[in-house]
Amino acid sequence: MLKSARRPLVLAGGAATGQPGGLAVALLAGLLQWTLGAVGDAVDFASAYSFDRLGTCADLARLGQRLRAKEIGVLFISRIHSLAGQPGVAPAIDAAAFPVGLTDFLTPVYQRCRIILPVPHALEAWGDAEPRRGLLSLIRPVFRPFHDTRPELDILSTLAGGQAAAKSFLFDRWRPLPGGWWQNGFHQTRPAGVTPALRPAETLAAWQSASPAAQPAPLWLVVAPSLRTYDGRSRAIPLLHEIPDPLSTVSYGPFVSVSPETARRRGLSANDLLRSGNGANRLELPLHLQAGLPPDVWQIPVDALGDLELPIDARTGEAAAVMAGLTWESTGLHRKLPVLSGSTDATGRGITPGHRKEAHHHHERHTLLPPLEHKHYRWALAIDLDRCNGCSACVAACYLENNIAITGPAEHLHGRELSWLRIQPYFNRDEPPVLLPMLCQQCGYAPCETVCPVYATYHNEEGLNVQVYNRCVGTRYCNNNCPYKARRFNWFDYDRPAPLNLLFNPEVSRRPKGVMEKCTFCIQRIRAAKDLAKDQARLVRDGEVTPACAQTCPAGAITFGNLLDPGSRVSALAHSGRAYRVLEELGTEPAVYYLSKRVK
Amino acid sequence: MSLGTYYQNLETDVLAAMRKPSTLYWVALAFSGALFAMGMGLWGYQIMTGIGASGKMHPVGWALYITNFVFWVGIAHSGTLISAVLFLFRARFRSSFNRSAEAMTVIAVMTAGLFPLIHLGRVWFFYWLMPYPNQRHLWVNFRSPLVWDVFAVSTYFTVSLIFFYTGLIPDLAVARRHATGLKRWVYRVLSLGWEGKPNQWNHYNQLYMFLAAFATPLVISVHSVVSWDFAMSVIPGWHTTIFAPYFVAGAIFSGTGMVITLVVPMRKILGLEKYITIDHFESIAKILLFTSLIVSYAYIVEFALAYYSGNVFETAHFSYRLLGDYRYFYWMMLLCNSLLPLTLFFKPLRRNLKYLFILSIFVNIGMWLERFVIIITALAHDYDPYNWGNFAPTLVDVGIDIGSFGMFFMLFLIFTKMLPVLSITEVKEHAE
Repeated sequence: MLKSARRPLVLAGGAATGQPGGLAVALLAGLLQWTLGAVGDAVDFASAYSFDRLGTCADLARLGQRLRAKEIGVLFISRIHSLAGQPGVAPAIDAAAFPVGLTDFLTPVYQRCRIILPVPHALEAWGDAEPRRGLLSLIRPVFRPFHDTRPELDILSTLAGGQAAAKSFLFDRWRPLPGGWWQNGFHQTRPAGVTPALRPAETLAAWQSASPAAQPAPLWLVVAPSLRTYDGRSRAIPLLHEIPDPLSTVSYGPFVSVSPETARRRGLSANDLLRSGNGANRLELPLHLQAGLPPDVWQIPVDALGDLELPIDARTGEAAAVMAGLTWESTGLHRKLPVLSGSTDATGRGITPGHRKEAHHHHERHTLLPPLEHKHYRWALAIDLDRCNGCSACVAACYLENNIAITGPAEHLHGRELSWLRIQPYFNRDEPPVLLPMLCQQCGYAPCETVCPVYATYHNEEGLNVQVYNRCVGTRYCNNNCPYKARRFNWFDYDRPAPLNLLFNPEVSRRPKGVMEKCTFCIQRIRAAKDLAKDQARLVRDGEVTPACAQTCPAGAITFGNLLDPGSRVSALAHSGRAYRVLEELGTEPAVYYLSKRVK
Repeated sequence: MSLGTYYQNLETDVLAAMRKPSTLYWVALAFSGALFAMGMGLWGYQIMTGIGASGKMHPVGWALYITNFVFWVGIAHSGTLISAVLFLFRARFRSSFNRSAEAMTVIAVMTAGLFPLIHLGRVWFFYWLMPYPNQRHLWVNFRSPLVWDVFAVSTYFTVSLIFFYTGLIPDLAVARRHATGLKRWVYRVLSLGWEGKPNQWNHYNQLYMFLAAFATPLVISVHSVVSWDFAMSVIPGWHTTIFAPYFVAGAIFSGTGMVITLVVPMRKILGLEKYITIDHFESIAKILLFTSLIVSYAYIVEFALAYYSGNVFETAHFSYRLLGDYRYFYWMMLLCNSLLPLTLFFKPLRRNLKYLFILSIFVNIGMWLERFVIIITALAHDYDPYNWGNFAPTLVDVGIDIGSFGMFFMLFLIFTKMLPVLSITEVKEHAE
């Protein structure tokens, strides 16, 4: 496949390089890429991510040693919310003479500081950053600090004997830069291009020293970054636990995953509380059966490491992402995990594209009802499953845009989360795994509309299935009748204690208990765009309306637009050979088109 | 014994039941009243906190409350069958049951009518389910089976109540004759000045016949409409045309069971063995057996259709019903509804009142479980495997359901003391 690709790219990282043979893997990947050639325009070596000023895990371990040796006097800890994999460092903080914490969240690391200086949120203070080499970005506050905090830059510049104000400190250093940085907000220098060249002798020497010595042990523990909190650093944010991990669909609580076949062989079942450990470090985690994992590979997210120590590779300074020789035993107890999916196997149901060939004929109608007619707009979404990697940023955006309540772990165990948009993983037999973002399909012939006794849901002339919150009496027949189960019911009144109530979007109403809610393609944004277009006596143009999910998707997998506009992007995508609709044989005529993965 | 003496004894015996209640009665009334009060209290709690107090979740949005709704409406139908349909067929044996059966109908419909309110998310807006003139020109959605329910059940309640009351008038006159004091005044008002004149009897018979004819199609239509709450939906397990006849047969089946449950002890306690005989019970038992066979046929048809449909959703759903998380409920249901009633093919068992009573309890349980299984398995296991999820009841669910049983029995006990439990008029008519 690499040989036939137009622009082959070999990437090695994560678990592949975070194991004892990792350096060898990285070298091989580089060599492979070199032999394939054509690196130049695929990879930009000059503008690499700016990790130059970051320390490695080895540096962190060394800090721990220096602390224990009482070599450190005053220690500033700024926004370090996780020391996963380095259990020895946090206790060592006590050994510093005067540990000072600068933070916005009070996490366990900060409990050990002698004094804690609250700093504002990044959006409330001046600052700058260098995300890539040569790209300097200015950070400007968006609003005044809500609480009594002082920016980190203020504190440090005062202590350094300089000015008190962070802003003037910053501007003094930016002013000498060539013009344009104030209007643009950034300053970019183009570093000299780097042309990679192979040095055979050094390569051979590196290869010889990098070859892995021992055979890997059969039981592997893969320590993967948590998709939601990375290494646990943003654990304090409730929304990140409310949204499930897309592959396992577990929302609250750490867990350990293994394939169902391995669990069956070991006599383990889901929610068994397992204990693992080598020596002093024991880890107790409930078990989750994860389809798609190879046999005998156990996986835990980094934020579940607890006191487990990750070995550090002396050559690279990084912590290992794979550990061998770890055993897991059942404690005999159970801890129920909130798993939001019922099953991840939809084989034969036509929900996933399967091995759909291109040019699938998706426009045949599956209903005897007359074709729908819309006047100016038929709003539709096209979701590209080839681009979607399940990151769930769209889910988070939807929560924030639409004031969706966070229900908490007890309600999740009951199966009562309120996500309007969710990532549904499918591991079907004989098919590649699929991550399917599912939301209200705005069906042309929606089963929910006919059964609502009070007309709280009806079809508007733009193809949207509209939900009128103040008319809903809460019979819940609409969700019962929805084959996609896209609707959510407010089982209780969900409140947000201050200051989280500041997060509410004033353009979207909050729903009281007893009312059904669901996605309506961010109708508030559609309305705003239509109002603007009406003022200008024209129709809404393609690209003027972007729902929150489409706006946030980093891969650009979600496209929104007017299906009646022949020039719109969504029109082109919906008519492409890859497009299909979920359960369209039920005659619902959904307005959400999914694009299957590109298959040769 | 002369006819006159027979009539005298009949009246005395039946009205004796309305004498001052025994301690057992008070205990039973207090107990059922307490259960009802508990149910109401829990409902109040649910209104304050939200539907989340019950065990419902995504995807199972309907659970025990709708199960109870269908269950109680089903029970109501059997009463109308016995009083109206059997009247039109001139079945003599119904005369000893029909008053209690009609009372059971009215009380069951009242109990059933509470549940659409209980399951509403915003019950304080329940009146939006009715088409009333309003300044915003809002109508209800007439395409929704829930609105059909509103019309069907309220029609059924109105007609049943009028039918019940009409049949009571001559008996209220009898009660008036034997009563004293305040009771006499009440019965006098309620009996509307009935004097038993020939033209009054003429009118009575015509009206009763008309109302019986009016109520008869309601037995079919109302439970068909209730079954269409499910049949009109798209999900596998609900979307099937067999539901209307299946539910109507099931309703008569469960209602007949409830009639036996109520009348066997009532006959013993009130000493009415002379008027409600074993022959009467055997006839009711035959109806029970017949409707059980229809229900069993419906089960077979459902499975056969799912199997040879080749539709992955149908076959998967029915496999789930038989072998999935709720399989024990399903097997219990099969035992109670299909297998146990087959024993009624044996005449000695048909004429054994103790056996009939116990069997009727099982029938009630089985029919309640049937509604439970239909509603919950269909919602728990439909098209998209991601959405599958299980329902487990909470104390609020169970408490309100038990409260409904408390309400039913409390009202029935009140009926036995306030109104003649036998249709004196009709028993007199058939005493030859």
